[in-house]
Amino acid sequence: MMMFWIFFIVDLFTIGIFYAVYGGKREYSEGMLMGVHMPRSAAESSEVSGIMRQYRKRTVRFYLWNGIISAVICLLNFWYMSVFIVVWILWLIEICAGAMILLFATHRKLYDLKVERDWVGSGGSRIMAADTKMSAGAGKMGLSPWWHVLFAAMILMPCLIPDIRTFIRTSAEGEILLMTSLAVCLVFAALHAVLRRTRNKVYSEDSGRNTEINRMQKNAWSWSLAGCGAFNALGYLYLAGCVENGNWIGSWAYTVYFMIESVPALLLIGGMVYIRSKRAKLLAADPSPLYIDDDVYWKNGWYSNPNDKRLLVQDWICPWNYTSNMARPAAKVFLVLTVVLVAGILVVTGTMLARFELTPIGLELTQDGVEITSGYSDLTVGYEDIRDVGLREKLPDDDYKKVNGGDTDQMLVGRFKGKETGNCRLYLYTEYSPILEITTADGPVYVNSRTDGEAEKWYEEIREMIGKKNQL
Amino acid sequence: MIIRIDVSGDIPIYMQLRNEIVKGIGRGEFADGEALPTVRQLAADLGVNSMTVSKAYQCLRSEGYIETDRRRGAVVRLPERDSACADPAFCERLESGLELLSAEAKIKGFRKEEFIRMCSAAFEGGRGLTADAG
Repeated sequence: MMMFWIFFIVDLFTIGIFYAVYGGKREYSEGMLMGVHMPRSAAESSEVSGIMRQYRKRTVRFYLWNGIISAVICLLNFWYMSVFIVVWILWLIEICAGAMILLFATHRKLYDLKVERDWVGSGGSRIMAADTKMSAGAGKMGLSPWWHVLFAAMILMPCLIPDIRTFIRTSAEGEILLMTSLAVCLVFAALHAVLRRTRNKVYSEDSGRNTEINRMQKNAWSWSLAGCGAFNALGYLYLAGCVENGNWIGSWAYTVYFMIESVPALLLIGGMVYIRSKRAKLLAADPSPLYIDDDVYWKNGWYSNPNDKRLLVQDWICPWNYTSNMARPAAKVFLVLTVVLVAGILVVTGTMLARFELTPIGLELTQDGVEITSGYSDLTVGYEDIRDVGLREKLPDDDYKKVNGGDTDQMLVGRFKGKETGNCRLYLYTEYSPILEITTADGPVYVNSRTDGEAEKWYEEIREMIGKKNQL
Repeated sequence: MIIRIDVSGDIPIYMQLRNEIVKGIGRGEFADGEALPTVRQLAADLGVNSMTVSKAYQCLRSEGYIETDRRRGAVVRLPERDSACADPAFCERLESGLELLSAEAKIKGFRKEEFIRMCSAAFEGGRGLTADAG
């Protein structure tokens, strides 16, 4: 039930974000309608209005249907998780492709009409512009990305404390948390450096106005990203401060950590909203706007300009998105790799999940020891390693965290770590009992079966085998 | 100053860039000693190769329109006014250019007055220079 609601809410958010970015109402602004330069009179003509009306109707229908379909797909959570995940990923691909096709088709229709009617720039303008006064002062725009070095140092600071060093060395999550925090810090730093170096756009004949808009955008971006880096470091510092006895971080500490780590998302969204409204305000007050008609490079919806050496360019669909210049070989390679990666993830995830869910948990006694098999990993416990064996009605009450493997509503398989129990291995169906407990030097192993009496049978067989081995 | 480059034109991009900056200096949009963008920044903003901008700057430097130094980068340097006519190479190039243009204008049916009016208007466009000279 929990998974159904989680995915249902995630789907609603996904559809909402897609609608806001790709499906929102398209207004005539900056001399363009849906990324096609045309005079205002043309944008208000009956032909264009007709195309936009049709686009609007199709968009509303598309997102409405996707809302219904996603809810139906979420019902698969009550069946097999593996089937749900595969269908869900396919649905994600469908909504991405559908949203793009809807936009690109209408964009192309408007471009063809513009060329046919010989509206402004339809002769295939290939003009590129730069403002020298603005470019000359571009080096002073925005906060330096070197601030992220300080944030990386903040993340590394707890390593000076012996307890934290022990936690990082001995616990898998200690290493993962440190590496993840550093990786996120690096991503923010790279994004900061890239955005600060992006092309300065010419909006107006007035150099002062161009400088003001570009500076405002770079300042807002760089402050947002510096804030993101700072909160990422603070999140890690908080977590490091919550390490108990050099080996444990409580659930509450993780909750607070995730809350701190969510602040960067809010900062980025806030930055985007601020840039959008401030730029609109500055452009509205501009008496001499300048529009560079580069529609010929966007005619298919994506950017393809062999004369432009840039690989990433600002997208027409959403000004804070960047898209690749498809005339560059690197962009084609990137696209193919992305498609291969997505297809690979789909196949691997589907196969792994299906194997995880459909392979039953089994236990067999061999000459060497007890062999436990599952859809995730197998385990052999030598008879000499078994310290004790017993049956219990349920798992010991504890706060268990997954180290590897999987946990669904139906199964818990893999390595887990409990606050009291310590490291343990679980091969369990959640709704079934009794549970066979095998105590070893590496921690307890808990196994059960869906078949009545099987766990009891395993228990008797193991006891018998241990007895025989002890006699020898 | 806004520089516009037509990447589909027959004129090489570096030459268009050179021409745009010269026109800007002529119109008085660049003050004497004003810094130009760095090669890398201008290349990034125009979306062209750094070598193209570098070549344009080299042209401008060799023709005496700009100077470069390590500290300030490229800066506009207006030539000495009195020495303009004393530059025989430039005078020769100007005469040759005007001869060709006037010939083309004659062939296209322009009258002398129209041609001179257009030359005068183009020259007046360089307000900064004429004002200083006046």
